Amino acid sequence: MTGCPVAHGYDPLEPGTVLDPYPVFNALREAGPVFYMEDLDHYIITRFEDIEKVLLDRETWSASNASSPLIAPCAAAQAVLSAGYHRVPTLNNADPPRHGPMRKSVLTTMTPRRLNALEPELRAYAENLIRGFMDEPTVDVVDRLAFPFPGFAAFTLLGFPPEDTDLLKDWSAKRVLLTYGRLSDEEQVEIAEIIVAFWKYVEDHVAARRLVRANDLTSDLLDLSDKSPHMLNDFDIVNMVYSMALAGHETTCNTIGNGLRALLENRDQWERLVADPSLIPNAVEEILRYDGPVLNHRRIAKVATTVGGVDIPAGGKVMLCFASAARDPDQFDSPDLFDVSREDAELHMAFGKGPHFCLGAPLGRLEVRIVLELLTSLTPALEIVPNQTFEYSPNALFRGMKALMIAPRGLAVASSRG
Amino acid sequence: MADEPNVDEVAYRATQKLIRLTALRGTPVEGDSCGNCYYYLEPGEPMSFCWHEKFQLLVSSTWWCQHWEVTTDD
Repeated sequence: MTGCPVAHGYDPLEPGTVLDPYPVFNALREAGPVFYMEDLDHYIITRFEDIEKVLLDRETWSASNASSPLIAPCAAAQAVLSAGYHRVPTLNNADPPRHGPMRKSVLTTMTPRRLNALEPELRAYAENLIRGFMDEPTVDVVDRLAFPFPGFAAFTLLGFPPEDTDLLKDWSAKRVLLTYGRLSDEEQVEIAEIIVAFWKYVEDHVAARRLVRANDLTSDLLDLSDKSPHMLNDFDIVNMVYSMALAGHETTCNTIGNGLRALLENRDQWERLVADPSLIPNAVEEILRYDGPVLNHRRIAKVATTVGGVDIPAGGKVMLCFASAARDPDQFDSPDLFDVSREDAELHMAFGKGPHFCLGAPLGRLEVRIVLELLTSLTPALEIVPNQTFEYSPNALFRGMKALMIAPRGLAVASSRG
Repeated sequence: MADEPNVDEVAYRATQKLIRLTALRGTPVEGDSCGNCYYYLEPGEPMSFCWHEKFQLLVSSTWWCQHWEVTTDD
C-alpha cells in the first residue's frame, strides 16, 4: 500500500479536456491507477479492473455522492436550494436498505419488456423527425434528432405534456451544470432557482396524477404505491420522477450525437452499417464504449480501503473514470480504434455495473438502434460537415455535443443546393 | 484409465465474459435472486433454467445478476 500521487495539472473541467478528454485519460492511466485531485477533493480511478471492483463492492463503497454537486454551491445558491429543493437519495445515489425497494418499484413499472413495446411509437416519431430534415442541405442533427427524440421518449413515459419538452430540456442542461460544472456565484443562484422550479414542477405533476391517473409511468408508480404503501410514498415518487426526468434523456441524446460523430469520422464504419444493418446492435455497444455519454461516476469510501495499491481513507470521494476504463488496453485491444464489429465492446461500463446498473439501459439501447437503423436506410449518403467547431457541455460527468452539422444527402448534394 | 479431460479454454473464457457482462454473483442482492426473477423458469425449484437472452443456461435460485426482473407481468 502506498500514499496517493497527486494529479498535478489535471482538471476535468479545463476546456481542452472537456473537448477531448481521451489523451488526458490515457496519460493518467498509463501513469498510475489512482490520483488525488486537490482542487476537487476527489480521487480519480483510471483502470477498468479497479472501477469494476468498486462498482460491485457495496460493503466498502457508498453511492450517496453520485448526484451531489462536484463543487459545493455558494452560500446564496445553497440557500435557494434549501428553501425549495428536497431531494433525497432514491435510485442512483441510494444505498441499502433504501435502494432495493426504490429500484424494485421502478423495475415493476418499467420492465424491459414494456419498454420494448414502445418501439413502434418511438420508431414512428424518429422517422418523422428524420423525414423532416433529410432533404435539407445541412442540418444540426443534435437539434433536430438527438435532442428531441430521447426527450419525447422520456417525457412521454413520465407523462409530462409535450408542450413542456423544450422547457424541460433547457432545465435539464442547466441542472447538469450546477451538479457537475464550475459556475460563477451568479450562475449558481440562477440555476439553483431553476432546480427549485424543476422540483416544484415534478411535485405538481405527481400531485395531479394522484388525483387523475393516465397511461404513464408516474401513474403506474402511484398505482403501485396504493397497492404497496409500505414500499413507496408520493415523496419517493417525486424523487424518482425527478431523477428520471434527467437520466431518461440526457445520456441518450449524448450517445446519439457522439455515435454519429464517431461513425461519420470513421467513414468505413458507417458504410459497414449501411451495407450490413445486422451490425447495428454491436455498433451501439461500440459507440457506448468508444465515446460514451458518461465520463465519470462517483462513490465515497465507507471505510478505509485500497485501490490499485493506493490507500483511500474512509470518507474519501472517488471519481470512477468510465471514459478511461473504456480505453484501457488491459481490457480492450487497440482501444482507441472505433470498430463496430468489436467482439467485446459490450463489456463497457457506460451503464454502470451491478446493483446500480442503469434502469434505462434497454430504452437507451433501443433508441440508439432505431436512430441508426433509420439513418442508414433513409440517408445512407449522410456525411459530416467538415471543419466544424465542436462544443461540449462544460461538465465533468456527461459528454455531449451542443451541435453536430451533417449533410443528410452527402456533401456533394449539399453544395449543389447550397 | 481415461485421460483427464482438458479445460475447454473457449468455454471457460465465454463463462468468464458472461459473469463480467451480467455482474452475475452467487448470492442474493437486497432480497432479489434468480429464484424470484421473471426469467427463472421453474419458481420454487432450487435450480432451474434462466431464459434471459444473455443466459439460456442452468442457474441456482440463490444467484443474482444485473438483469434481474420482477415476476409480475403487464
